[in-house]
Amino acid sequence: MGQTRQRVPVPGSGVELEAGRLYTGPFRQILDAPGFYSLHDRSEDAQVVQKLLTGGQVGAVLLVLDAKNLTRGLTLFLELSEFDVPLTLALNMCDEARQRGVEVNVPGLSKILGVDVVPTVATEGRGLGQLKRVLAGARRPQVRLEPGEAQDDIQKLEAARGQAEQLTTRVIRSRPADRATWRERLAELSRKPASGIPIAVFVLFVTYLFVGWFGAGILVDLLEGKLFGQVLIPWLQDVIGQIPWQWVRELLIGPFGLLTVGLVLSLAIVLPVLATFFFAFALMEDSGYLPRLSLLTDRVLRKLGLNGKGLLPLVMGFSCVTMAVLSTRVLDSRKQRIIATLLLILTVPCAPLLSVMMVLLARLSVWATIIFFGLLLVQLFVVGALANLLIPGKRPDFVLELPPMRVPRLKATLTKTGHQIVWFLKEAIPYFLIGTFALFLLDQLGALDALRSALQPVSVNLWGLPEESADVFFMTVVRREAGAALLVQQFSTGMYDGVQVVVTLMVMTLMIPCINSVLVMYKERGFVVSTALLLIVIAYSLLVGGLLHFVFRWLGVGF
Amino acid sequence: MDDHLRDELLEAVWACREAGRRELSCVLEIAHAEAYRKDVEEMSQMGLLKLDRNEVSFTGQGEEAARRIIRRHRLAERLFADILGMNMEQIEKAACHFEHAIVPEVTEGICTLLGHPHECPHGKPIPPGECCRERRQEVKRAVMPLAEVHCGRQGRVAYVRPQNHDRLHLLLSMGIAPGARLSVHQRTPVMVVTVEQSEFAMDREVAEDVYVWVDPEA
Repeated sequence: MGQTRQRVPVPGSGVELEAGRLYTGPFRQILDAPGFYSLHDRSEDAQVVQKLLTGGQVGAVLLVLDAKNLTRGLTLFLELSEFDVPLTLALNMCDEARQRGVEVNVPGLSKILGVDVVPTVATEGRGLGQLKRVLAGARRPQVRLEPGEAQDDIQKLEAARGQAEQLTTRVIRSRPADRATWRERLAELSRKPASGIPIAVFVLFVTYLFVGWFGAGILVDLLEGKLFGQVLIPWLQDVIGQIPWQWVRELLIGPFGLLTVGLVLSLAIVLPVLATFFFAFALMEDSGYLPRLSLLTDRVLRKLGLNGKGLLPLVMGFSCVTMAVLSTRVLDSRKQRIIATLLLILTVPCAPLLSVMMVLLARLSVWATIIFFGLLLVQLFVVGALANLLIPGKRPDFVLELPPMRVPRLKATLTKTGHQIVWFLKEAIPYFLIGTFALFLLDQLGALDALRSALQPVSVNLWGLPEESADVFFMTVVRREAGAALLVQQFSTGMYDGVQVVVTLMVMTLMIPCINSVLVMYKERGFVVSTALLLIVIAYSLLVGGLLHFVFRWLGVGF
Repeated sequence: MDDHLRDELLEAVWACREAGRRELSCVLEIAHAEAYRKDVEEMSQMGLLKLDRNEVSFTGQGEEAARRIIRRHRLAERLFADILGMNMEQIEKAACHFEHAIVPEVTEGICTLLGHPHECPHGKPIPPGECCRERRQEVKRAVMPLAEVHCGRQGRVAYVRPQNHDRLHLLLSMGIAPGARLSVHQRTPVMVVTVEQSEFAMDREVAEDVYVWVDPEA
């Protein structure tokens, strides 16, 4: 409901929430608190909300409830009533509730609770106008939790639930549910293994076509090749060519120029791939498909010490490892978060890297692609299974609510994609520019040669790569896909053979996560764990790079 | 009006009717809770009772509700008297609490255990239930872990094992709580269950901790 989005920290929690501006009554800002089932559970999300509520900054709470499950929602309402803040209720998914034969007496509920209650269908924007109007009049509820003799949190929760059940019976009328719709049938098909697995393969294939072929192929070609390559860059070169100082020209449009390399890489190569990926991902999220995929993969992921919930961060890693490491918060235990982080940092190539990688692999025999991704998958399982054995801790419960499947609204999905792109670009563009600038400095100072010889024992002797691969690895440290892009350039000059390309790509994927993801990892996992993970990753990839090189050469394979 | 007062009034109307009386004063006097004319009026608005001047009678819905309460109460009395050997005074007190606490499945189980008794220890008739009409001989194992419930079966959550505190808290707050209706849709690779109106996926270990009253097969 708020217009501009930004992220604001919650004091004392180390968590940032999305915020929007709001000009309703006395309120200036609306915060998007994480979803949760009970204020008193031990999840990080519930604790963040508790911190918010006790922080004294909150003027009113807008509680968004699932209308078809009113008892559960009112239980939460009663828990909230203890915090003595003004409340407004949104009864969301009213359409779903009605379909299932649940009719809520909205005025009656409002009268009993003593707060405004607005029926909404958020995905269609229904009820949002009314919500904005009544938000300023948020009141303290007249119904409060009566904990009775409840001692611990469970007894309190039981008391709240009992009270909520009584409230519910007073305002709800049930009639038989409508007949199952095609969406419910589709939901069923996509969660049963026999039909669900083919559906999953189909969905992944379509996603690949959309992101890999349309985004990384056609859109990149249009933007990089046509818009930047033929229009913008020549124009910039004309304009900047007028500047009398040579170092300024070099800095902006030279071989490591901020504009010609930094900006082109980020806007023309990375942006289209990310945009298509974010859109595809948002579609999967908004349609309610992802949770079904999660439950299908639960059993496989258990072998890696994760469970179905672990699918989300892993899939997200193929978009952006940094965001994926952030999203490991949805996992329930420390062990799971560490394993997921390790797998992400080590084995998952992010979308930008993947797209440049595909350009390279397409120039080799198809076996290069098959062997490369096959090896990556094998390593994902081996490393995951080992980590599961070695890292102490239990596997937490897998209980996941499956939201109803629905047709996503294009506008909402596009808006979401837009927000993600803006957020990503704000974070990423500075790094592209810094990386390019660092290369520019190194190049100007002649330090690139020193770096090459320093890396020689590893790059040339262990991995069997040309000396110049040092440039690629350096650029990869700054941003992975920038390194891969440089590799494309070097490959074109005939410096590498097929085996060397595969070894380089493997080492790039395994060893070097981008600076951003390392920073996020340190923030999320702490110093000790992150350093340990980094050391493992480096040692592992040194080894695998060397192993691959010697095995390929020994077998005499060529791509 | 709370559930307790409502149940007590329904019981009182039933008892008066057995004594051949219909006056409001009789009902208010017999009720085990403080009750006034306005409470009876409220119940007639709820469609449970009919109040005609000073005469109280049941609606169809009210009679059915009263029948169930009386049945629970008197079965409980029999249980306490026959099996537990409690004295009359203790029995009355305990039965009053018990009648509000047991779900239909338990009522049937107790009735079958006791051999479908016809009268309570005070000699008043016990309204027969489904199990009496079917002359059931044994109590079926009605409660079982959710993990063992077959696909397509329905039931009601009896309780959640409290050993694992976090699991209990999570399940309760998600609405997987005693009394909630559920049906099982899928058992592999994980269980898929609808509880009230929400669909959940959960692994076998979690489902082991949720105990369910399974409805008899339709």
